[in-house]
Amino acid sequence: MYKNKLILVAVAASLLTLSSCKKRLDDMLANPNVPTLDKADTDLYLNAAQLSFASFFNSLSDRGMEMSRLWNMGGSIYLNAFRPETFNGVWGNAYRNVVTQINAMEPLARAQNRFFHLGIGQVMKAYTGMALVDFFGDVPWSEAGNPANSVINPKIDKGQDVYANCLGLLDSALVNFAKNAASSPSSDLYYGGNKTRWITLAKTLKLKAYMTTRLVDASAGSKIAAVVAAGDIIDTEAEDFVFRFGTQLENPNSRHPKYNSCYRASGGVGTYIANYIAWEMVTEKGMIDPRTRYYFRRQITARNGQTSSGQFIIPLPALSCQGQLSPGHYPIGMVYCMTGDGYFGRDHGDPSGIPPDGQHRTAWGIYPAGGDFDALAINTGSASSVQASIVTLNGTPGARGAGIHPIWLSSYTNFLLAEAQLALGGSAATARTLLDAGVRQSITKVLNFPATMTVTPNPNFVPSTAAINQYVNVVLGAYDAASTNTAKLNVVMKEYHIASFGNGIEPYNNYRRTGLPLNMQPMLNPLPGPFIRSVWYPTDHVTLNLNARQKADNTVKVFWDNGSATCF
Amino acid sequence: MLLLVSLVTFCFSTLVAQQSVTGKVLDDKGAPVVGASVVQKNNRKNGTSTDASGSFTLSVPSSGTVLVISSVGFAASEVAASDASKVTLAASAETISEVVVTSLGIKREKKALGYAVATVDKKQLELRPDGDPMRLLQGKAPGVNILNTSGISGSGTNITIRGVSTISGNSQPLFVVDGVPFDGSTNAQAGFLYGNQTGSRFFDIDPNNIESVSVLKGLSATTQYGSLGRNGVVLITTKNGAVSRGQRKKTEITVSQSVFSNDVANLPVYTEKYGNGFNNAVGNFFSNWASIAFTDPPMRLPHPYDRAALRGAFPELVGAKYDYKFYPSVKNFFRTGVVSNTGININGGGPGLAMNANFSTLTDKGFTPENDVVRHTFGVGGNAKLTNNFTLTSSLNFTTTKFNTPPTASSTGSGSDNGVSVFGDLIYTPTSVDMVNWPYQNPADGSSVYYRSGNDITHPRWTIANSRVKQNTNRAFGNVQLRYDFSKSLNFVYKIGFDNYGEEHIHQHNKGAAEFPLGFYRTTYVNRAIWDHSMLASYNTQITDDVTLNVEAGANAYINNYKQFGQYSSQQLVFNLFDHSNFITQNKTGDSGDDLDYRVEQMLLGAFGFASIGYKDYLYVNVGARSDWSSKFESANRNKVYPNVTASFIPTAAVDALRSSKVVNYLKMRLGYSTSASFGDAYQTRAILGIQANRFVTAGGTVVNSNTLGGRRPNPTLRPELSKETEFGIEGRLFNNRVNLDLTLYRRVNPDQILDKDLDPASGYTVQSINAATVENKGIELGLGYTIIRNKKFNWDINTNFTLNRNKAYDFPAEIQQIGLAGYSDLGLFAFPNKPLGMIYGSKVLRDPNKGNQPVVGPDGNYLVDPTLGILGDSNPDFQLTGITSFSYKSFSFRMQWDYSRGGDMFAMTPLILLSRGVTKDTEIDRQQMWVIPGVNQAGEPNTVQIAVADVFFTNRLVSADEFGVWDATVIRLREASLSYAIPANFLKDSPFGSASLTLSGQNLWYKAPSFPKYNNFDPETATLGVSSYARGFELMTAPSSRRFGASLRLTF
Repeated sequence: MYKNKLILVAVAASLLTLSSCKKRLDDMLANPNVPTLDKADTDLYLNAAQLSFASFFNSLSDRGMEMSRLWNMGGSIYLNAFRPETFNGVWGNAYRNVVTQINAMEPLARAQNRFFHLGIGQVMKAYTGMALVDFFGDVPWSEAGNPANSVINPKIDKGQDVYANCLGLLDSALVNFAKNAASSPSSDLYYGGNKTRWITLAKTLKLKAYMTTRLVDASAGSKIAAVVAAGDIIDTEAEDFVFRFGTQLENPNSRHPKYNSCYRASGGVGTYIANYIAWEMVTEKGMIDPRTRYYFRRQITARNGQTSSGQFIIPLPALSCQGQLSPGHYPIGMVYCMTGDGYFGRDHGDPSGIPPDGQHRTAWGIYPAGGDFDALAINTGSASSVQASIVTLNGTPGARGAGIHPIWLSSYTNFLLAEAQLALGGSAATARTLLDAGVRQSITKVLNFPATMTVTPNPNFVPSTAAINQYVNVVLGAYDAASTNTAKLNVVMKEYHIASFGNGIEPYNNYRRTGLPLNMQPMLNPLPGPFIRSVWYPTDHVTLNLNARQKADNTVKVFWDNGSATCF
Repeated sequence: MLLLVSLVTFCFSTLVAQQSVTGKVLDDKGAPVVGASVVQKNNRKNGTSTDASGSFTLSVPSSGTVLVISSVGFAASEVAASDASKVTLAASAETISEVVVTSLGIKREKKALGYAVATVDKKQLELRPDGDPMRLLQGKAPGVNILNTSGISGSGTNITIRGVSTISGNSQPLFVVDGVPFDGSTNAQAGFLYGNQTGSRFFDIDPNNIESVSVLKGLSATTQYGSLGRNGVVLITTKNGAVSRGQRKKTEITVSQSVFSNDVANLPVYTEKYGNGFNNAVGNFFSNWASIAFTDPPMRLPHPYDRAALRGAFPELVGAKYDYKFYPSVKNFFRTGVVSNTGININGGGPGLAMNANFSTLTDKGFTPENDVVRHTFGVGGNAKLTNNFTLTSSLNFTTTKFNTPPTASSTGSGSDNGVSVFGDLIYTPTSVDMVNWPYQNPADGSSVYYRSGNDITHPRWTIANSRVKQNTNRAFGNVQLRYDFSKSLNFVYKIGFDNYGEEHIHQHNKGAAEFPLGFYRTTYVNRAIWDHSMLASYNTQITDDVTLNVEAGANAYINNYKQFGQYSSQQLVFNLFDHSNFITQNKTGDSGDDLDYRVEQMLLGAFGFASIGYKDYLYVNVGARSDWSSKFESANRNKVYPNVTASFIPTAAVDALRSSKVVNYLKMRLGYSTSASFGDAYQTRAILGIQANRFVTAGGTVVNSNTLGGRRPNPTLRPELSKETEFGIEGRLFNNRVNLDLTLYRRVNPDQILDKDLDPASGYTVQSINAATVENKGIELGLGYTIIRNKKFNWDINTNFTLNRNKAYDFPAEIQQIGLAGYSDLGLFAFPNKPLGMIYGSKVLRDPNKGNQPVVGPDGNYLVDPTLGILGDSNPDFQLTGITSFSYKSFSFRMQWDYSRGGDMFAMTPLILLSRGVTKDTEIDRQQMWVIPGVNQAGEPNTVQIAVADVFFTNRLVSADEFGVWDATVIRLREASLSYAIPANFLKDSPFGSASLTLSGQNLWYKAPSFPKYNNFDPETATLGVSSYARGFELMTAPSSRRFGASLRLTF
């Protein structure tokens, strides 16, 4: 009996334990570390998209700046300059962190009548889609980033279809902005909750799209004219579309990425500027561009890298090309190795390793990176001077990283409209006025920039009004001297090139559309292969999407590039 | 039924009884052999067994009838009934291994098992130079693959059994200590980019406390442990858990002490001819490519610390010069560590009660300064036979382990990828840099100073002094088991096992280095609690004289809860104070961006039943099934039932002709087909919302938070995997028991893998857990032993273990062309359809298909890199072979273990760096000469561009395609050698000692990896990726390996 009772107890206990355990299994299915989807918040989705949009712009812009000689590009041939993996990050950011989050926000925003949120999302999506086409060509779009009904292998859409869809998104955004929204976004990191500015931006982005596609759109001229006639485009500095960084060093690091790479506590400046842009601003016009000390912050000065006695001032290992002759394929006068006065950068496509030169490289200045204003006296030729190293433990020089991403500026609008006048049968005189306005707006923007961050540059080095006027006159003089519209456009595009420092998307588009500026610095390698007309598809797309196919090489043109422009 | 069977048996035996014979069975020392089987040879149904005094009585037809007397651990003996009054049995060649502990403490005769079990006894684990019980198993069991993560004392260890059969999952075996699951995790707090020489939790077991280790390799052996055991089971019986009931042994106290030296095993041979420089320039480069040789007397160069930034800190060095000559910096950087292990074991008992207790303490100082591991273990185990047929068994253990090391993040050339590494800038130190004697710290602010003017690399000695990873663990584990014997044939066991540890992880880094110049402090506290409840009913009976039946049925609940809490602080205020309040910012995400606070709870319920039928003593059939319910899947998919069937046949017992054969002494054949389930990781089935608090702070100081749709695409229909394995084996002893053979062939198929499929981010998600693809492993495991000499004074054995595993992944869905397994997305270990797992994938040199695939050289004379990545090698070795030889002569014994691993490719950054930077003797070529690298130019013509020697090695290796870092990882190694002397018993007669022995032993005494550059001395047995399924074949400047040598003394009282 005793034994039988024991068996009964054992069996009963087992069954009881098992059944209660099985109930607990259900409770353990949800991840206890994160909320479920129903806790999502419209404002927080929009914040995610806004921040990712800024970093999407940054990574695409960096590649564009490298190709358009605003920033140094390594790799001795164009085929090798970027690898497909280079674009994994920007691709993921665009689709996962911008498009998908905006799409995830949409149903919530609609249900809550948050049309302002919806409009901002549509504008950012439109910009993202067009920028993806500008760089990659045909991309997934109609089936991409749809969380509600996600497609694992989204199909590839034609570039023109994506553009058309994005223009439609801008129109929808305008409709949504016109509606009465239940609330404004909790954080509008671009326009501080000013809906009027977003409306102006949406219209300007349409203008930008028409201009970008003008080579393949016979009606571009009339479309542009219509937008201009309707007015309300970004033509004043107050309307500029920029992302502004903060000054927080850590937790979270909220500073401009170029500030992070240049103003490091050790190792010195982490990246090289492109010699070409420094040369354009310091040497080419025979005068110093008023924006130079705002763009670049030198660590040393040395005319041509040499002292008056001919000694190399930069130790040889740091700059091994010193004293060498320009490569044979470089045009006469083209910068090679180093721009005088200590603007220490690199030539286009310099593939060499990294010598110990962190204390010599020129850093990004106060505009747009929020860095330091260059207050280094011009070397008189007698001896070298060295500016205080930017290596500072707390990362505090200059504007402490509170720079901007100049995504669309009023000066760009002026340059773009000048191009429309010159290229689409307008008036060269109107174009001249627009050029004048563009250059002045750019200079004003840059020169006023320190004040917006309560930084006061050393007044000895702040350009005077006379100096600015002189610069504008030199530019207009060159414009007037140019005999053809193409030559005049070359003057415009050079100014656009200089003004777009910090934005690589526009100059890369401009270069493929116009082939200007004409005198871009050639690749260091005499046989660099053809220019990159579109970038590799990222590995993450090619290897993971059944519909994807890598392009044969980087000569594949995007839909709006008809090949009329010569690029090298 | 039972009654009927016994009745029949009874009737049958009465019919044939004619004459009674009484005898006694003794062992070679004269002690009675209890439970020995005594059967009539030509009528095996007639038999009995010996009682507690070794006596038996049996009725036989005549006094001439031959009796077969056998017992576990003894060679069977045949005697005539007339000679049976006193029979002495000789110990058989296989003693303890004849009985194998299977599940829940059930002991089985090995011959009844239908699968392979590799058993390593304490003799192979005690008094060894390494305190890590798993590293000691290296080479000792075929099919078991053990890979050190590095030679850092206390660092983790990788174990895989019969290859890796999962693409995305965990392949570590289950550890079972004294019958209950034991967590062997490696709770890395950051990925390899941030350094993960994290210690593995099986380190908490002192090898000296182990009685035996059985490795259950195939699914046939492990289904009883359920899905947890699908990767194999390492079954550890501790001395505390080994005490058996009714042991009547005198009290024995064993004291042992070992002392070993611990040195770096693989230093390169540096060039003493050339120093720091690049081509014609001599100076403070990363590289050692000066093309001008050292001079005598040496050149005097400006001291690298004589620079503007350091003039205030080192006024004495202003204007100072140093000798530009060879300094043995790297060699002098390391030290000789000392390893000490002290152990006490007390064993004793009385009637119905047995107890064992032990204490051990290990202090292992690494060859790297500030690396050490200290472990204390305490344990007690006992077994008591209570009244009312209850038996109580329990063991309780407590361990503290303290592991300290300088950080060891991975590095792809200099510094570290993302974290901090003492090795990132050490091994390639230019030979003219007097690293050890030049100051490493700025006296003014404590920051690192080194020879580079930009201060862009941290002095390795600064890292030693200022940066640390610590892991402090307190652990308690054990079990309580209550058994009730209903009758001799039926018993019920309830067992509760627990394993609970707190693990404190600290990563601290003072401000002032090149990496993380502002300093940081990360602390995480891990708590793991495992509860394991088992109920088991066992029934065994003799159905007829010939047929035996064992049935086991039971249920199991396994609950594993993991929690961790952490904080990451950065921007140190006061130098060298590690307290979160001394840092300006505090965060809940770690250096790799992972949330430091999280928990994972999982539960697994199982029910099982197994039956084993034996026919005579030569045929055994085992059938069974287990059903598991897991908390990881939605209710419709959470259950999996998996059956198994095995059989074993012993021809030497079945076939008369073989029974008395001197050639084939023992032969067993086994065959099994088994299945097991796998449930993958928790939380894959439901969508989540990501939360990013404090993501951005605007210039105006506004904090911006965000939420995001999680990147993991939920898969509510995810279902368990079912692995299937067929195993065939032969075990035998041949030629008068001189040759020992254990051969296993297996094929395991794991279809419907639960795998992380990366998605095109354009889909909106980045990854999804899906059921797809098949991984197949098939292989050969062979243990072959030969006793060359066997006599009273001299014994000489050779044992070899051979492991061959072929792995293949196939049935990929069309959209999966490759799966990243480990490493980076553009360089790492990958899975491709119809290829083995772990292919090395990375960049290749561009080749010209029209010119016989010659490499293409650019106009600057350097190789161009193909923009498309490709397969660079296969990291799986062809085979592994271990040879162990042991001699004993009188009281001396000598043992030596050689390991040979053949083939398998490896991407190794250390040799790539050493070659690229020109620091080893391998690069003592004419450095003044110009070189032309072989290949064609972009036009397809032969390359004629001359380049300098530094460009040949540096530009065309390190900063070129990854393929230059791939080598064949073949290595031969003298893993262990030991010499022991046991003081003969008669010398100890008048002493208090029962026994005394002295052992000299060494570990990793010599190795050769022939395909690596000669003077690199590179040791391919390393795993930068830490403990993971894919660790082999990928090295990123990780810690060197260790060589140990020393002595152990053991005394018993």
